[in-house]
Amino acid sequence: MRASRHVLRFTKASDDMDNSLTFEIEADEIETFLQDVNEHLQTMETGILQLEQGDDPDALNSVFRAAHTLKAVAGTVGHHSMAELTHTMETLFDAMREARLSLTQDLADELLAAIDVLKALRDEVVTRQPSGIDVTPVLARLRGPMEADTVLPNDEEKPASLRPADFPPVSPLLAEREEGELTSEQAAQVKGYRDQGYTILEIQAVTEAGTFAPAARLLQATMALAEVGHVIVQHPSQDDLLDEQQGDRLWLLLATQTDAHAVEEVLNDVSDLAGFRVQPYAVDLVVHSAADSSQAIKSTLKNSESPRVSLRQEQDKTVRISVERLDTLMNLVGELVTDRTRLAQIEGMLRTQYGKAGSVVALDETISRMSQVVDQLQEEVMRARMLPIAHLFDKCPRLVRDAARTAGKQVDLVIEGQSTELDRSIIEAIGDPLIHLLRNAVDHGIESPQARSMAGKPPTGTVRLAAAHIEGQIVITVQDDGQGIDPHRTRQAAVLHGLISEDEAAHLSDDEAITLIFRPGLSTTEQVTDVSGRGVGLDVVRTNINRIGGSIVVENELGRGATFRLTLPLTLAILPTMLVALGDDVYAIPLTSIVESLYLADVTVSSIKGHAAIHWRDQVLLLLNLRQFFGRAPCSTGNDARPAVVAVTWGKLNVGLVVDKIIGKQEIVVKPLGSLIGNVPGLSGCTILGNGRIALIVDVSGIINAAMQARMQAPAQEGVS
Amino acid sequence: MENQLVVFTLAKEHYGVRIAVVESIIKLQPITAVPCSPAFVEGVTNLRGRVLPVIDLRKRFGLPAEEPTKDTRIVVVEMNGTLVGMIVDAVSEVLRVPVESIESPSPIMTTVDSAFITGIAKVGERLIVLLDLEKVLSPEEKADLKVLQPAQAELVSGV
Repeated sequence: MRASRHVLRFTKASDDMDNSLTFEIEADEIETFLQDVNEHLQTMETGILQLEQGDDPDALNSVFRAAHTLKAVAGTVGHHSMAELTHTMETLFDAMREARLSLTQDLADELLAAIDVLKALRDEVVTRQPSGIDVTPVLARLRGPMEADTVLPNDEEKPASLRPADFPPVSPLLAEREEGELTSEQAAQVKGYRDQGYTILEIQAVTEAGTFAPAARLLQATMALAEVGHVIVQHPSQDDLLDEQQGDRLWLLLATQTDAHAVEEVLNDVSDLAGFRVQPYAVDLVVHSAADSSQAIKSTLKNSESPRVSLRQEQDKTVRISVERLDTLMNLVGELVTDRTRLAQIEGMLRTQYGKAGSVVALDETISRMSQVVDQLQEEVMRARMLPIAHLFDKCPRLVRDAARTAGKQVDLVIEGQSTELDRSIIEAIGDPLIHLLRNAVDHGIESPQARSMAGKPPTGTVRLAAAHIEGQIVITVQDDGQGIDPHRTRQAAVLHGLISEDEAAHLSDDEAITLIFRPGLSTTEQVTDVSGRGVGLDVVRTNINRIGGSIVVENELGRGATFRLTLPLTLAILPTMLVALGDDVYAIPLTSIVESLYLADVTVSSIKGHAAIHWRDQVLLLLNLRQFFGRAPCSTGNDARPAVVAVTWGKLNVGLVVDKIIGKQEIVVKPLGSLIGNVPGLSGCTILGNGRIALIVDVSGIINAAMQARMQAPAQEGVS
Repeated sequence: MENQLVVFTLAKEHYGVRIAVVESIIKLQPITAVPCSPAFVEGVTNLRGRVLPVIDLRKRFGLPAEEPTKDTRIVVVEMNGTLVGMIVDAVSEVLRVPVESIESPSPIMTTVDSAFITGIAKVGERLIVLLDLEKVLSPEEKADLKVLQPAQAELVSGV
């Protein structure tokens, strides 16, 4: 058994020679490793930022624990520089806990930089290639403040509490041991297991001197042992090992149905053990009261599978599943939704043909039951794809802090609604837009502390980032209390850049002028950005948000700040829509964009500045004939058309889409049009209907934009005619 | 060495594509027109639950339009990992053509732009125009499509 460990050692020692790194981690464990590490890095980052705001014992404890756990994780995979760095960070946090050290902004910089280094070191485990980062200077800088404090962390030395002298009476290394100190419960357990034919083994193990995280090794040993039997009692306890309170040696009793040899094999696979001994537990137990003990056996057999077993059960309840598989599942559910619609149509046809014959009614009942199941299935699969938006929001404090420091501004970031859940593909899609908006808020929204003081505002600006579920949609808000957007400046910038004429600019309301920041031309050059004060790549932000069926609007109060509001669908895969007919074709309009639909026959169409419009809800609703917009011919056969106006909204703008006929509401599965066709203005994809035909999905924001541009050009045309 | 070709007709001329790229041949079925798409794109259709873009080869080659007949077919080919349907007048047969009987394209012999052609096979009295499917989507148009692809890719990932 020792030989095998030496081989392992040897491979590790040879790392430097062939330049690729070896870690003690299986390929299938890497994902878990990454998740663990990322989680702890995130906790540290968040905690450090909180601590920078002021003392916070909770935050301090959580960063300390994160550093500590990270050290253990690094030790387990055998990443020494990572373990060393986290150890140093842990020591710093410990010093802070004991109030021997306080967190300056410079120290926070160093700690955050160290987190970045840790990220690079983490990647080494995946790539097995050295990152080329030398941790020595990082360590030196971190230790700087500690040296002044005379507490110099010594990397290989364990904290004082780990000295053997502090150990509770545990059996000496590999010595014979008289263990008579079982509680009556444990004794009863031993007897109970023996009665069931288990062998009781007494196991002792000790880690090699200088092992980085000895407790982690022992923890590993206990978990490995729990796979081949039931641990009846152990010293130190599982909790103590988890906390790394004690431990370079372990004593435990294992009830197992395999033999001692197999157990030795298991321990052989645990690295950094200096030695272990597995022997049958010979002590005969005197159980005092038979009645008492049988009672005890029953209850202890249940309870005493103690913390580690419950931990295991906890793990068994969750299954890791790849995103691809979830996507496939979602697609299949989508197909099912389509088929359900088709079934309902067939049932309708049968009913027309056969009336309410018994089997038609039975079919109807079956379909409605199936529909409920499909609905539930859809919801469950959707839920399985949901993640709390904290995954995204957690990265924001660091971003805002760095942006603020670079810009020389003081910014508080307030985050709300982190637990709001949304589809993971949406979380992925909004990452970049959100970063953009936050940077914009800090760079262009929030003023310098001096300017703020002069304007009678507190020198520290506030950026509020919030997420909430509202009416089946997700609303994300990025709000700042900065200078706001000046509509005069956006007008000037747009004219300067030739996006609109001065005449057009003059015709724009302030609200409309502000939406100019989303126009592509406004953001392409630095000067325009400086003039407009805002608008770096906001067109890209809007495009990205629109692409996933969301919308973005801005609310602005000059001098008081701006609010960007993102409205997003819960899922990208299945879209509730209203199907409409344009000529012979079927189009789907997302329900989320629809405010109301009216029959054209019920309203009075008037002409406003040459545009067809109706009066609707105390406002003028411009009409846009969707069939003409798409250049489609009128219906070729028959005429069951009943033209309707579908009032759709995008941001603050409303347009009435004139369609030939409203077919009805339907949930559809969004499919792309494919690369051969590419991006079509006014369309966002297509879907296969229950009858096998394909319907195109209307991109409401694209259409409203087109309509808005047409309207902006309208005054100029009027001047000509 | 011989090539196995799927042979079809367009305006009474014979065309061939390698059988390896042909996924299936289906009858003409309802096609949904997509507004504002390239002119030769007829639209999209439902191929066993997948959205299949369909191009009209007559339009692509600048041949006069014809009403579809009972022989009209959609040849589904795989191009660069995606399926595309091509509307043809009729599919006649699958032929084995020896490599020796394939000649370089000559502009005089066909009505179709020689850029789309890899060669011409002589089978008995017949001339079969071998199509270069890569080029049937001409390079400049393909370049345009590439630019659009990121947007599409994101849509796909969301489905």
